[in-house]
Amino acid sequence: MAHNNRMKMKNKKILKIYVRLIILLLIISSGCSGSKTTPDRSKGEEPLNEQKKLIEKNISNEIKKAEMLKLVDEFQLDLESFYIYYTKHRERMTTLHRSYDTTSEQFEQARNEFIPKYKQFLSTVISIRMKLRDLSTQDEWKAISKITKTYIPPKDYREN
Amino acid sequence: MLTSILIVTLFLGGSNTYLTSVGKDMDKKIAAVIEDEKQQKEIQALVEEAQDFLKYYNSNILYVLQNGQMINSEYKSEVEDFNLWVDILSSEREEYMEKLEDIHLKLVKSMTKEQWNLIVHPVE
Repeated sequence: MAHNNRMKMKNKKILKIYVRLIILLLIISSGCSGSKTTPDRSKGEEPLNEQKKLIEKNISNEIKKAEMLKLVDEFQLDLESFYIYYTKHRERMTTLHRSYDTTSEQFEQARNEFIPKYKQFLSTVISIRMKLRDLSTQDEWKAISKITKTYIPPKDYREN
Repeated sequence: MLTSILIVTLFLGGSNTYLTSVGKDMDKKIAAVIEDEKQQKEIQALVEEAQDFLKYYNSNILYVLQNGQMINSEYKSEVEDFNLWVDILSSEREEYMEKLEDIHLKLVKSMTKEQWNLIVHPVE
């Protein structure tokens, strides 16, 4: 039922962009390239830098602009902190999944520790989004929400 | 901001098990180590199940993120509008972890420790 509801949420207009995004990020994160098993920090920072550029370009009030840039910088620190935690979590999960002797209780413990932190991080992201929104007008929000780059080099995407 | 959200959540959403890190060579390793045909098929079926699940998971995440994009682009969206999105994203991640744990435990049951070490711990 929930899956069907999600299916309905499909927006064809943005599908192509996100299919590209998904493919690149899955390559980055899933180890499709073979030995790569750690997330690439620069891929998380790049859109934040783009966000800052959009704020600098589109927010006319200098005080609000400074506040917004400060918020994005703060988020960068949150991202850095979560990145460190997540890298450790991945290493832990890799160790658990490689061991023949891992018990279901060990998996459960790791899961129960990770999910609340993941959820908390998402809440932080949304909280900062709300603060940015509150500091901008509707038109400014539209401008700074624009995606100007797909983060996908054309050669990395093959649409069959 | 949603670009960041998408990047962050997706780049945090990837797989990190031997099923994907050595997935490409898994069939060859299983065939080389497991002589019993029935056992070999059983193990291959579990690996395929994991790989199918990962495709399903990645597809689901796409829709969840699209929904997040739509909520975000609405200037009037409030925290409450994101709550369901966060719940879905988290539960997808939880389901992902549970499923791979389940397959891991089934794989362990289906082979000896020696076989496991030969398949999952190849000499690098």
